[in-house]
Amino acid sequence: MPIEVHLRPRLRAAVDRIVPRDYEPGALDLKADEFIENLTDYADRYNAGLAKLPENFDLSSPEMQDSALADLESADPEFFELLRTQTIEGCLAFPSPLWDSMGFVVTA
Amino acid sequence: MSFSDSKWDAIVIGSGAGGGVAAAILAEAGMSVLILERGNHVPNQPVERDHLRNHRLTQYGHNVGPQLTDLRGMETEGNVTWHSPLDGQYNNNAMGVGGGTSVYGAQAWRFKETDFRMASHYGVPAGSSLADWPINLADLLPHYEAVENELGVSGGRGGTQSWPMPPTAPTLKGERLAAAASRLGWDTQAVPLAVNSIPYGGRPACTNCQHCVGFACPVDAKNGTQNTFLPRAMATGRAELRTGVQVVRIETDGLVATGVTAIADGQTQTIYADRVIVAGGAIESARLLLVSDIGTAHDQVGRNLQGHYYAMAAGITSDSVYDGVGPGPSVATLRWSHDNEGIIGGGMLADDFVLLPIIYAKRALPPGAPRWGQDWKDFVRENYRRTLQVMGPIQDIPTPESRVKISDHEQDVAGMPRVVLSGVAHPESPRAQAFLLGKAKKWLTEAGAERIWGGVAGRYLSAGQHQAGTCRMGDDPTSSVVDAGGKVHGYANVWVADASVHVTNGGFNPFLTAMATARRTALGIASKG
Repeated sequence: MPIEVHLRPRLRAAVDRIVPRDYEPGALDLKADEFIENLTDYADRYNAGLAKLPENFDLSSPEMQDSALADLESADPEFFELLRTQTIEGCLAFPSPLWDSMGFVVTA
Repeated sequence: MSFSDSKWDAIVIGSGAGGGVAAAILAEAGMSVLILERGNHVPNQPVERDHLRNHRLTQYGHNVGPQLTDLRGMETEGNVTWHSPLDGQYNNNAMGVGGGTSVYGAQAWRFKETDFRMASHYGVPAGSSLADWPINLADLLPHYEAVENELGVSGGRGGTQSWPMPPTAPTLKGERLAAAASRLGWDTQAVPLAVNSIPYGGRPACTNCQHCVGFACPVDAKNGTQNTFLPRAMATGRAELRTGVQVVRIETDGLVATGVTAIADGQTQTIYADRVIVAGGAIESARLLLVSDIGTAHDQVGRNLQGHYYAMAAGITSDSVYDGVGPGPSVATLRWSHDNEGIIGGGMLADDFVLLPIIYAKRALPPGAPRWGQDWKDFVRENYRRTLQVMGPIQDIPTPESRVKISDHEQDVAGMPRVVLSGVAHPESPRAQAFLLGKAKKWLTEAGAERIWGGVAGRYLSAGQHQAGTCRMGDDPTSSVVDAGGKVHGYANVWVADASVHVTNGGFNPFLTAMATARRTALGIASKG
């Protein structure tokens, strides 16, 4: 079962705050949302966890989104940890501009 | 012709560190040898790859088996929970041609004399099964030396031992730590690695890439049985390697093995042999003996399971210490291997492999560091190149309650009883870990690290990739499984040739000792014809 269509904007908004775009790409640019959507074994957990975010989460200001994510981290730390780590995995598992900005350079 | 149509001089079960070496020795001695490997060939990989398919980070899958459908039980206070190979409690070891040696970090340490005499040297703490080996360092020295040459080990610089190749490339982190150790008055040496620092054995030199431990080498400069001993066995024309074959039972007639029953291509086959050499790793070797009811008369098979606790500390320096030169481990101290006040044993400390960004972000951030958001992003960008790590394996103190058993009602897809693990490490293991952790932090402080972290684990079952001890070697059949020659007590023709036979597992990565012991065992078999 995939992540439900109506929850995907929340997923995209959440990953965008977990690894935000600044002068370098963020999680959305690095397609971390697609990485998570492809982890179909986890879809049930995402459907349950993302449903705990406010309905207008994806339309909220960055500050309100950060506040909602902090609330989620307190209310459902297990799901938040899944969301956090898989967002980071989606940003760093494959050759990424973040490798470069961290200073990890593939030389050979 | 099917491989089951012949009667073989020897069947070797497993193609890793022990099995690969044993197969080469027996085939070169003139025997027909059938090597049965449950996994498959592990391809050399391109450098830019998926960091999640990494044997050090097995969250979604493995680049080296086992099948994800497999399960192992973990028994705690009578309750058994079941764990897949993606779960640390499975205590996975690599499964494939070459076993762990195809993807390992390849730290090629010899044990010290005291490692073979732990009980005599320290006494036996209550609750432990600490014992001396029935052989000593002198017995293994010629085999260590031969394996180092035949496998290809780089080393040197600062130690008393000589290696067939010079050390791999020095690193900025290593130079920083070596200078710090010198100021502390600690001796250091290069880390011996089964990696070609120069062209060796017909394979090229290491390209110093950033993807070593956890991956197959993209240029085949990392030396394991898959590119050394197994090709030697094949070159004799007397050996055959079959992959994807699971041995489910050793067949016997009284105290004589007659062959094995195996599942190959979905078919059950009985394969006959004059000798059976078990080398499936400490958990699977014990499982096979238990299933086959071999060596079980004194309830020793599967006991004394041990791996390594690790002392792991990290710190942040004020300037960059990163140069990205692989493999990475370039300086070690053996200063704390033994004779440390208040603990039993000790361990080696060294710098680490090039840290992958994903492992850094998931596992290597200090307590209190930002976990997400702009602050997280700023933190990892600012500190990745300034993070310095020191780590090393601690000599585990064995206990008979840490063990491999088999389920009496759960079976795998081949119909073989599933493994059930139980027990926790002896209290001396985390005590030694705390001691070594203190030394690691002291080293980092002297090297200029300012923010330092690293903790002590509680008591848990220590096994994992360094698993050992479950078919321990000894002279007394009531307290051991195999004799000093690796032969199962009482049996005419069944040997164990992997780290299962280790009585203790040293304060070092154990594969070189597994190889040296397997070589000694195989030469003993060959000498008797």
